[in-house]
Amino acid sequence: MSEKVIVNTKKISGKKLVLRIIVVAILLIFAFLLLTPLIWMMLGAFKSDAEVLSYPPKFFPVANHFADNWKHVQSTIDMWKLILNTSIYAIGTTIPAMFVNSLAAYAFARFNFRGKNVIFILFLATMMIPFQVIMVPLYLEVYSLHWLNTYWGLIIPKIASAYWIFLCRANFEQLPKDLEEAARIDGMGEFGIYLHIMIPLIKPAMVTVFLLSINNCWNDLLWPLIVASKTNMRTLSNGLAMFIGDRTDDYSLAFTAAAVSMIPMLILYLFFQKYFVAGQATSGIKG
Amino acid sequence: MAAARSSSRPRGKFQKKLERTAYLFIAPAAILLIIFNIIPLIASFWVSTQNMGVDLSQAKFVGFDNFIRAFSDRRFLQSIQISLKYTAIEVPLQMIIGVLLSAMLSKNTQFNKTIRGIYFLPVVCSAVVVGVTWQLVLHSNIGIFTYWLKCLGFTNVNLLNDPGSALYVVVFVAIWKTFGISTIILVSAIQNVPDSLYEASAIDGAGKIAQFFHVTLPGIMPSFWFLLMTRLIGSLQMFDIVYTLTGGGPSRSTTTIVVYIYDTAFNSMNKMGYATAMSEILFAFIMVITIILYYIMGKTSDD
Repeated sequence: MSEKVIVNTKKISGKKLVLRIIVVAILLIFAFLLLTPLIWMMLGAFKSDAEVLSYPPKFFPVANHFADNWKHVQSTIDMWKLILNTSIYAIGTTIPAMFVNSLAAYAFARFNFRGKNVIFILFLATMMIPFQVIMVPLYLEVYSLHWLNTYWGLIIPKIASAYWIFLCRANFEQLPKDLEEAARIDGMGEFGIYLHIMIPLIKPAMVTVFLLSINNCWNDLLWPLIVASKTNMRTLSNGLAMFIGDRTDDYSLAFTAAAVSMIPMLILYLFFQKYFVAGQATSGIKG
Repeated sequence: MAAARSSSRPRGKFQKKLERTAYLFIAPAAILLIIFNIIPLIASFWVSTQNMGVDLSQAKFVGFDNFIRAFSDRRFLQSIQISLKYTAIEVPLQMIIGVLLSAMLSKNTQFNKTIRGIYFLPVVCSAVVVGVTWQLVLHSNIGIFTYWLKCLGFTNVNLLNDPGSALYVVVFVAIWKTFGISTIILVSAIQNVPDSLYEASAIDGAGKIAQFFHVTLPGIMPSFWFLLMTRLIGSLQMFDIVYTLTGGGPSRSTTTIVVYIYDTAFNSMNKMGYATAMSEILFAFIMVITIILYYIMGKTSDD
């Protein structure tokens, strides 16, 4: 029996090697298709218009023209204002979201109260509502609150998220049962237990919520497009969509603005890749 | 899990205090979800029966006229056709690519981890970055892919400006942006298939390929269905990439349902009632598909 197995593996190994080479080749082709456009776009931020237009096109820049390009971008678009608005939207949404959603998640995971399951299912059901269905009424609501083109209008409707509640609740449930009993005996208040004992224990989940929420806001297009259409309220996403949308023929503008708008998220991804991946892999796709 | 205080009858003052605390803790999220999710959902049914712009006081009740009008609106019907075509191409391709790549990447070697990290990268790119990048990459004058395609012998490469090819480019770019997520969800599903099942089938003499079809695929079915469902729903709601890549053109060839709804509501026309009626139709359509898929899913997992 064992001899037979050995013979078999020796026979296959040639075939196996070929198979392995094919697999690696396929994986590398996909990686190439994925990386080339992004790298070429980023490198475009360093090229002069003449270089971009030269034929045949060169992949790598000859000299560094980034400073000129950046100056040109700023003379056309107020990039710093866009970056500021996007940061306010992203951080202004994410920080309250971490607090509001984890607090609700904590109640669902660690308390017993009447109607708990019904309320939780109602919360989850809001995840099923496609944004397109509520976008017009939501716009009208923000309009009647006089929140159009304000940070309030951008931020407040986006804070509560059943998705984050679901994610945090699962993590709170995994903590040992008697943690809060001990803290209560020590005379700690319920809010103190949540803030000082429970939150630090689900830190990885909180980091995931933080990163994914920042990323969602940074890249969000439809909502800023609707409620922050005034020039000085635009975020990077809708601002660049409006400015560059019809003007990709202004090459250095398009290359440089796109590259710069992407860098903050790229840095977050390079440092915290495992949180991004874990967040998506465990809870599926959002939106 | 949190069964520390599982007794359902109230145990005096302390229990009541805990209950009050719990309500207090869920209150902020509940209030926000009610105001910004549930009320708009309910309001959408009302808005869809109105002929109205932004100004609520100008609203006029028109009953089901908006719905009737939608089904005789050639542009809306065309956008449904485009969304269906897009979905019919994007979803199967995405699923096939996801399954194949995840099967190739399921082992946790350093090489595989690096590749997965690369595939996942576009997740942090905004639709605008993706749209602008691909507009440039496929640009008829300066695009690097345009040049390479020409080198490969293709002539007249102007993929984004040709109504015949633009939708396929949108499909390609959408898959380019999201296949990493699909792959990673399926990789974690494959890694959760118990090893004992593989060992058992190996004893039965099954090869790698046979194992894939008889052990891996059945094992990842729940994740597969989940992914299929989210991809279907997402494709029917396609907006971002179209908006940033083609803007719905050329000659409306990529105007999907949501792009048309957006234009109707927010681009000059401001037909809020009509746009919402079309959203309701899309919503109903998505619900029907979800229910059908749940039904099929239930049937297959009974086998």
